[in-house]
Amino acid sequence: MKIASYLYEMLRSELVDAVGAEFVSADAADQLGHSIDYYWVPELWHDRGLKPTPPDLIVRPADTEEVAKVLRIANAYKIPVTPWGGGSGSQGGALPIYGGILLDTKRMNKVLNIDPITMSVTCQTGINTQQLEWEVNKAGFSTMHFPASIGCATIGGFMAHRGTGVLSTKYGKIEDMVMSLEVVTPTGQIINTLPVPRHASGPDLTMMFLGSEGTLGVMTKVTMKIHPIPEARKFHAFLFKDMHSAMMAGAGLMQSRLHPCAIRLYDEPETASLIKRVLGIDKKGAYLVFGFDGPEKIVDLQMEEGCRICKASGKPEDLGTEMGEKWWESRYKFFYPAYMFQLPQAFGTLDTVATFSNIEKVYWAMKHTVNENFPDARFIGHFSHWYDWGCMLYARFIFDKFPQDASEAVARYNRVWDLAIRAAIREGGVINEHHGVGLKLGRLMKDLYGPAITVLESLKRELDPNNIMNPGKMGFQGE
Amino acid sequence: MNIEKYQGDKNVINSCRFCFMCRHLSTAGIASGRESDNPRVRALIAGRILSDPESVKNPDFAKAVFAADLSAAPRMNCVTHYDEVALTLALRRDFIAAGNIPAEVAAIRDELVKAKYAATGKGNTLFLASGYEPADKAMAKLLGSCRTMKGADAFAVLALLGFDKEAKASFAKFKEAAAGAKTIVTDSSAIVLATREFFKGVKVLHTVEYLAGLKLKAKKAVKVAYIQSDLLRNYLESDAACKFFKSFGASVELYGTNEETSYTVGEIATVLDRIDPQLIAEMTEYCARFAPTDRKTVVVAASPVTAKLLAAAGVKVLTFGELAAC
Repeated sequence: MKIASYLYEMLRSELVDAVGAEFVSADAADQLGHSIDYYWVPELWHDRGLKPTPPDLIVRPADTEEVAKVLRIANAYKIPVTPWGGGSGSQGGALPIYGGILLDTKRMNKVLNIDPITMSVTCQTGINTQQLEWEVNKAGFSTMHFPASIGCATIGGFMAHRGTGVLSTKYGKIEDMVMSLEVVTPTGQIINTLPVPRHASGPDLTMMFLGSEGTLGVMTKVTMKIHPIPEARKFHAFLFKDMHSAMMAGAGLMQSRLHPCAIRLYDEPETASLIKRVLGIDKKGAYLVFGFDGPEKIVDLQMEEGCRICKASGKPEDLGTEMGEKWWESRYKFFYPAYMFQLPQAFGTLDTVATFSNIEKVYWAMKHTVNENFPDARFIGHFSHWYDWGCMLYARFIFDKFPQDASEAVARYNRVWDLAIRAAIREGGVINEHHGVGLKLGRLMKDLYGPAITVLESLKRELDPNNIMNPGKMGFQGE
Repeated sequence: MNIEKYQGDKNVINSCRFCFMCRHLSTAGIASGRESDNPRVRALIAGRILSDPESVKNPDFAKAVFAADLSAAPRMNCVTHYDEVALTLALRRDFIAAGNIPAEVAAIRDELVKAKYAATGKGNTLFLASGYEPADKAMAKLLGSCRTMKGADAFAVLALLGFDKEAKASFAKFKEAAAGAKTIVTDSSAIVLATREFFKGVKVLHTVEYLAGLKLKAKKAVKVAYIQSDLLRNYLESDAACKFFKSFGASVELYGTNEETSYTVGEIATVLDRIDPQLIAEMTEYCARFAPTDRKTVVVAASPVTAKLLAAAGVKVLTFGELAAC
């Protein structure tokens, strides 16, 4: 929507009053920046010389009170509000698709308290996650949240879509790290969830807001667990003859309850492409790396047992600690331009999570679907976040050539998602593990949830009666 | 257009426009929270101009590009070292060519093209003073008999703003005025950068490079929190500061929380306080946040721009010259 003439000025005046004139902007450079996130579709739009929808006004509040004022104003005018952190989400969750107010949280960037006794940090949610990690490191701790987008995203962004870091297998996803939240509800009320994450005082409100992608309010403050920096962290790598034997080894590591900090398994095509390119391993097979951290003596014992489990799963080539450590050192390199896919390629991450019983079926169902319907696409995948019961598949499709016409390209792109994700759901897969739903996958939420979607929809209606918060995302009603 | 050489499949515009990987290193973006203070948006602007050449007349685009702090921390820490600084300078030249120059920038240009270069004093050494009095006084004390020139950064500032023709003419005047000097010393990062990247024929030492050669020793134990210089670390990859501290006998810790972020408050963009005072205020507030609470620790900055701004925010900061002269 484009806010009509004098109504726009009335709204602008109220927002200026709430946060200050210098923090309300309709600057074309900021509008351009906020109209494109890390979702391929607005990137394509820009690449083809088209103009993705910008916000009408960009508001940068300094604190919770200012966020609450903005939401109250937006409610009065029934104007959509799209929260924006680092803007690096891949699902279009932060795109202001209906214009309106873009609420940029990045000025809320302060660490408020580090509690070395509880081992927790309390901070504003607009803080850049790498900056948060560095501040916590300076106090002698770590958040242990190391996603590839650590340098790009705010901690609030990770909470909004339930992000996951490289060490999730030991330290958990972001929802396992959060202890409590301060939230501004869509009507502008400031609330706090209970101060500890384990209790028997009713359903867990913290978990309700985590993953809500700005549709149920704005998370403004968080208290998170922090951890001592481990004495040792060691990695080891093996090359298996095929993905299945490597999967058996990875599942074996988890079933042993040895608690590795990370496991990553690359299928044969990704081993032959990205592992070769980034790590320089030019061999056929499926590359598997895992690690442990903690007191060195314990790590050494865990590593010995982990290696024994891997060697028992077929006869993998032992790539040793060197090729494991190299992966750890290069863990973010995969996501930089020149290593990461980019336009004119069309690409997407079919991020899916499933039990060990189903995960390979999900992989093959998606791979066959992509290969059969789109013979010009490549399909690669790795399994990157492992749980006691299953793991996450980071499958990707890549087209080197795609239609020049933007509408035709988006239609084809969406078709890949529709077919591949539905194939995954049929095999027990869940879209998705850590990228979120956003605009990209909203239409598939009904397929995923079935009748349970009405519970989420009722919740949204109750909390956000005017549907101002990030409308049209997560499959919720648009404007 | 100047930006055309930065397009293509594997270079800056296409790579940076959709990349967020250096966001944590852009102090301007971190401090202001403003999207357009990040390298990504400058690359998006370049992309927009290439697809819609009329966009080069957009005043908001020009304003964002002239408000860049020119930190090379993102470039240095990018695994592929994409040169977004060079892209920013190319964009500035294209806005200038299109006549789309923010009023503040035009006023700075008009003032600087009138700059006259004249030295006072005598000696083989020429000191290019920054105008930050505590630093200038300290260097005068250390250098003893020397020639001193004030306002000598005009050509460098013009070059960094993208006014190539005016910068060239101004540099010729500077070169003439500097003739005869055996050693030229300055703590202006802009001058050092300009004489190494844009203009040839005049060798200028940064004060820390000069002081490192003197092998000075501290009179008593000193503990330093060093604000790593954007120029020395990210542009020149110089170890002069390290050499100076070693011979000086200072115990050094890095200012802030990490080795990658630039806490220099835009030491290269010396006129940013006139182009975007709000951004400079936000960057100053952000960088001052990390000042050590231990009062015995001396904060040291390579640039008088940094020292002046942080001092105004209540942080006690010394330049290398001030530290050496203590």
